[in-house]
Amino acid sequence: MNEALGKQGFFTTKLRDLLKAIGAEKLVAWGRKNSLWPYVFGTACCSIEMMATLSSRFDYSRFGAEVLRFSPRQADLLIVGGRVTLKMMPVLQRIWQQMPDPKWCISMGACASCGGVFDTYTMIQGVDRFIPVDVYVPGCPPRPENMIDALLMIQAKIEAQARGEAPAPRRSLPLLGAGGKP
Amino acid sequence: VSAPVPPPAPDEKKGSEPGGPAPSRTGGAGEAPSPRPSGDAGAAAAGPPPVAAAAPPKAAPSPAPVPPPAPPAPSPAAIAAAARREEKQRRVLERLRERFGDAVVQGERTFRGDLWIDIAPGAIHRVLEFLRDDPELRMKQFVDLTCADYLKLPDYARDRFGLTYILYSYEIDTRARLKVWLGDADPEVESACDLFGGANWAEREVWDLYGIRFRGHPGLKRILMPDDYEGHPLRKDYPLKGRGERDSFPVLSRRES
Repeated sequence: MNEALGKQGFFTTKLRDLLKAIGAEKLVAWGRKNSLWPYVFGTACCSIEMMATLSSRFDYSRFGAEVLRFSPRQADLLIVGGRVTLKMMPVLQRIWQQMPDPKWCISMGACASCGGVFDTYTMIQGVDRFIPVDVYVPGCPPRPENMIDALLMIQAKIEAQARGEAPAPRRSLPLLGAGGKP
Repeated sequence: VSAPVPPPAPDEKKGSEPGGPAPSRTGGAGEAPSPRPSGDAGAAAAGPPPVAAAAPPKAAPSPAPVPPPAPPAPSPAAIAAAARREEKQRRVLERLRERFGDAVVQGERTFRGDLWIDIAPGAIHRVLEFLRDDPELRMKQFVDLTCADYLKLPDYARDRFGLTYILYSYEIDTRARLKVWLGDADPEVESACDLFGGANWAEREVWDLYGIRFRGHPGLKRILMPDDYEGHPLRKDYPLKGRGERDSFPVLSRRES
């Protein structure tokens, strides 16, 4: 990367200093974790809560996940929100394969994580049986705070991977007080 | 901007506050001064009510069961509307009987004011055509075609599969529910696609989920389940959790994807 920066200038000099200070891997990870582009695979009511997470009150873009992509080829964070059926699972697998590396996956809500209450002939009992999942979000549907927390966990994972460590153990979720408002 | 909210009507409170409980409220002579919610508490503090003092001490404190409130009686207009609807449904049945006779119109059943007409399986296409083109009924709207498996309700059903056609007439504002009973072995009826375009997907759905074939359907293939699915899952003898179809995908690991 050092060679790629080319000729001198104020910005490139600063960038080179930064690279020297923290290392290219970490710098790239810093960029990745703060500019995740989600692909929202919403098949049920969880995606409604996803919209609430993205809109102004909770504002996912505060954490960098602002640019929703509706093409998997431009996304690096797959959010599976909702029931996945027998007919949908090959589609979901295809979408996962179409996403460029590196990529992460959030399994949002009870249905995506374990099938929820729908243990029938047509329902996949958790997408993690067939695609890799990084973070599971419980809830039916999860609150937007849970989704924000899941994004922070993904960010922590990206950072840990850049340091060559295992992801940090799960910290407790800072809960709102009773009757607290977001 | 908004209208001022009127204060809550004080009528009820006023009735119970002064004096004490009326004799009718305490439920009769058999009732002891048992703890009662809200209204009687103030009265008990003021002094024992006369009725309770007179009661014998052996009385059980169980309050009399309150009968549930009766449902409101239907208005005369609603009764008249129901009668009109029933009469129109009867008229549909009459027309069918006139035209086809008892060999085709095999029976009827009323459930909550809705009339079902049982039609012989071989005649359903003719019956649908008649209902659509009859100058009096003119049932041009194909509302739905659905099915139910009565495998576990043999006393209720004439046969295993109850295929239900629902037609609607804008002219006389009434529906016809036609039930066609089909047996277990090789269930097949004639397709209604040539009469009603809307029957196309409905018949595909019934084929997909119940395995009833429609003769003359332009493209009878699965509509909900995947094309390579085997079996018809809404049949009652199909296992609820399937036969392992949903476990048969390749597993994508992180390394290979």
